[in-house]
Amino acid sequence: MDGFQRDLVALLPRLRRFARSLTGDATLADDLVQTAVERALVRRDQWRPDSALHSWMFTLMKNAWIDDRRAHNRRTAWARPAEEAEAVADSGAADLPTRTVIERAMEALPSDQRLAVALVLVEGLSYAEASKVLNIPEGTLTSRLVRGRTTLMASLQGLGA
Amino acid sequence: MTLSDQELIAYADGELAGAKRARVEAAIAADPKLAARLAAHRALAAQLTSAFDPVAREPAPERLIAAVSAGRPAGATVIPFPARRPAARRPAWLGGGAVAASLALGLVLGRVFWVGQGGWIGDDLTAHGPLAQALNTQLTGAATDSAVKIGVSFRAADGPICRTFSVTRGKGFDGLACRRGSAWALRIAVPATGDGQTGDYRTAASTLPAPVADLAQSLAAGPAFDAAAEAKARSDAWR
Repeated sequence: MDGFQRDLVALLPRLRRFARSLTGDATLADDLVQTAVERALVRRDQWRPDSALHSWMFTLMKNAWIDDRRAHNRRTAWARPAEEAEAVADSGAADLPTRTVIERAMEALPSDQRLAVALVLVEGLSYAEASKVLNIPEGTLTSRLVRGRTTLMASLQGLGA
Repeated sequence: MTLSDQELIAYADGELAGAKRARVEAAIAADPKLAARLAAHRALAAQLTSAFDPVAREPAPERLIAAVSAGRPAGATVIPFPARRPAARRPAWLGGGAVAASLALGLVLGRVFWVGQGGWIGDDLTAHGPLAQALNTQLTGAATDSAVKIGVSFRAADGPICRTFSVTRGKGFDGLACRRGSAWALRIAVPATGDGQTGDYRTAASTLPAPVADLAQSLAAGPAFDAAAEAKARSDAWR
């Protein structure tokens, strides 16, 4: 392993935590990390060492996650109604009862709010850093955070946490 | 003094400094309701941290470390077939470019996909044998012993009916074929994935692999056939 690969290995714990907060499922989360790692290795010459590796990785993970969700929605749209239930089960949603209330509350958030909450509240990124990862203005990030936090607090109350 | 949620949250997240920070602190000191809202936001942050931090303390699974140390991964094998095979330009010295090309592709196919001795895919890239039979007769979702499972059927914008399928024999592959005359021309084939263990993937695959779904979506004139439309298409010989 070279230095870049060693840095990636050192980042794996954070990448896994971020992925788990997005997907709420251990296997899906590690699949997401693996996709992002593979993309990073393919595109490593696009990473500029003057930017933080974790920010770049979070960006790759965000993109991979959004791709996954689009592909999943598309495949679900192509499935027959009878197969739809199966397709949902495949996505891991069948594990729902075993998930923590927090994971279920996160799952209920729209993806843009979930990304904002995961980066700032779970990963502890500054607003400036998080808005760079998401490629959105800081004002957009803060309004997503406000909506995300408000929804989370409401649904945690509903889930009895 | 009123305080927006935005300001309160920015303060809770440690994003405020100087005069802005002082303004929020003064407002909170003067208003117990604001102080309670701040406490609720901090409790939420603590809940999120305690829910997900343990993940970062687990040792990373071996497969992720292996993915990193593998370096640049080999690209997934996806072989898209041309929609229409180019008219054979025949150099005098060779039988035909298209034939040579399809032979080369046949070699790739033979290696990548399960092409039995009976020949499921001919050199002309049309379905043969059990694959052709399934495409001709099998309805979506039909219980069958066949090694072919039909995914969806639809009409392509440029006319022909197309069907997606999964072959579960051998290493397995998923694909999409469109009607051409009385044959089924392959438009794409993707080997079954899943780290060489095809079992789980095959049985769980009620959904299409992304490249096949993408192609289906880009070809389709409308939604996939429902059961009645599919049965009618079959009795009309897929015309």
